[in-house]
Amino acid sequence: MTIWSMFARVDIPLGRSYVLQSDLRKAIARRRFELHYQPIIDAARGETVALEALVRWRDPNRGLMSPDTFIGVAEESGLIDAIGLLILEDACREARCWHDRGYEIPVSINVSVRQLDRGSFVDHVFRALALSGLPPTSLWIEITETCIMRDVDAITAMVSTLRSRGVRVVIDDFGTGYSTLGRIKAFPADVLKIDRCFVKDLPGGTVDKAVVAAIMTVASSCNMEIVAEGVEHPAQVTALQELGCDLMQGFFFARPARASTINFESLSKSLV
Amino acid sequence: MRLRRLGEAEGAIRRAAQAAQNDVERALGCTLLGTILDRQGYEEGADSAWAHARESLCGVAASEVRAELNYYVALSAWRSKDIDEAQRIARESLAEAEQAKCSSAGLFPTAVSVAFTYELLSLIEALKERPESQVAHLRQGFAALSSTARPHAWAEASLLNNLASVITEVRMPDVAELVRERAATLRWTGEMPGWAYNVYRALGWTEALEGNDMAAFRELRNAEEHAPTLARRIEAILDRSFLFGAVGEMLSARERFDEAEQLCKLVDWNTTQGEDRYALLWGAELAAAFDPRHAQAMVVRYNAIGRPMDPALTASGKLRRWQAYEHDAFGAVAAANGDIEAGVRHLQSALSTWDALGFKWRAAKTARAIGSITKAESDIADAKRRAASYQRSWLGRPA
Repeated sequence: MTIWSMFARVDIPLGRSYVLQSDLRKAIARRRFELHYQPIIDAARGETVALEALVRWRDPNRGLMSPDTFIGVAEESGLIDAIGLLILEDACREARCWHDRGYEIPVSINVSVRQLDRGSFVDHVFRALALSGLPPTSLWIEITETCIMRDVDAITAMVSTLRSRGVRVVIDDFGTGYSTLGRIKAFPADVLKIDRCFVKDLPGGTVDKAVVAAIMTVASSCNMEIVAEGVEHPAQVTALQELGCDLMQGFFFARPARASTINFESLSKSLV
Repeated sequence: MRLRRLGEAEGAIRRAAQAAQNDVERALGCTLLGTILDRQGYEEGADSAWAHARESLCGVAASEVRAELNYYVALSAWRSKDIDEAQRIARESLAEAEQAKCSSAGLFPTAVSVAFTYELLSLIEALKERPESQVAHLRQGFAALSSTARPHAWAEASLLNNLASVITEVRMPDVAELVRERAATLRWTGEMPGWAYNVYRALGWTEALEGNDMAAFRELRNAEEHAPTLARRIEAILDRSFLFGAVGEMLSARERFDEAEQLCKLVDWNTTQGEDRYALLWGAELAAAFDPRHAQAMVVRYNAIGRPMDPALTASGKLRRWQAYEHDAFGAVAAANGDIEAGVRHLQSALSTWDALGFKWRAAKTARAIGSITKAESDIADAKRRAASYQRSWLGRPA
């Protein structure tokens, strides 16, 4: 479908998904998306190492919506391209703002399969960086493990280009796909995020502990940093530190919040 | 974008956007296409086009196009009564325009976009019934226009028209002076007769309230000459009839009224647009003083107009100003026909609205009408107190 056929006046059945698509289109036109940021913490030093940008859709009728309620439809309809680009642009611009205020904390954004499938993705990243003035080293791109496995060669080439210019690449949700540690070893990434499902049962869950330990070993041999997602209790923090994992993210440290409401001064004191 | 033949424009822009050589051209094409589709009421098509414009602009240094896109999207939000959203997007447009100043590629006369965006913000303030903020935005619009090398008559006339709507109701001598100066030098064109009419009529009422009756008659005569419709011409003639009556020239007042009445017969009121129908209300209010039955007939005629008011005029959901105009007329007519209780009730209702809106001279005029009906000392004293600021004008003279 060319972009022009989207303007055609055709009769389309008014299903729920269609209504959502139509509202999403309006949301893009009116910029109804907002980014909420959740810190990734270095628990050993008590510092924030990055802020992950999480998109929210503020719909006048439905209220604030999390991505799981609309990303599916956005992917199906192709609207994810536009949403992804808006997120990229807004995240770079907002990060540049906090950099200008003296808080040089990188921003991390999630990228969808469809965005990566577009040949222009890398180009868009560099354009967004140039437009905002954010240094490439302050941008992290999160790609899910499943996404990498779809087309390893193409994604590897793309990621190499991004890394050559200083952008950091994160493998997201690791452990939920079907890749082996061996394949990950060959992939040029800087950070690996262990999925929350392995963190949930810590400090119990001996199997989970063993999995985390194994991931830690492989990752450090590849000079990759490890972030544990979904940390909600102090006991999980202790268990992860015992395993040698210092970078963490989760409600225990902070819930996602708008950049305007974040107290950047206190970010370095997130571990209370 | 102010093309009358939207269909033709749509085709041309669609072709231009399809042939776009780069992201900026594509974004521009989609922006304009969206605007035309929006004007045609094809909301989804407009959203699609604007979403593509946004996508094309990602990572592109084209603040002028972003400013333009945001302006049209904000305008659309305002039309669909999403006031807060319209305000947010309009402010984003101004921020982009500010950015464009630093990196102008010369795509647009950005100052004109900025002026229109301030005008939109002023319309939002009007809906929130904040005339001071409304004026502040319009002044910012003029300031933006003054930065252009070439005068832009359309934008200036549009801003003046909006300022006129404020000074008609709220006494702001410095703003009136600004309108007077700008109106005198502006090159009015045939495409903006409604705006010229509003501006001259506003100046007429302003002069009258300052006690400059000669100037008031001159401006109202100017307004009549620029009336965009017959109904508006009748309104201007009735203004002069009222003013003649207020200065004691009863014969001239009656002559003007009769002239207006003759013209009323030529108007198909059912096809009148928006505030054009005010001429009937105004005529009824004036006729109440000397021909109550005829005044009642005019009210009946007014109430029989089936078409709703222009959506743009009722964008706030309730147009209190308009309701108060109606109460003023209905009150005068009811009282003249012997229903004193209903008459006073209508007028009291109008008075409380004028007070709430801060339309002081309207309140003084209504209070005077109440005093002349009830003859109560307290009502007469209230009317005098309210008219005290307008001693030199018709309001300061005995009723």
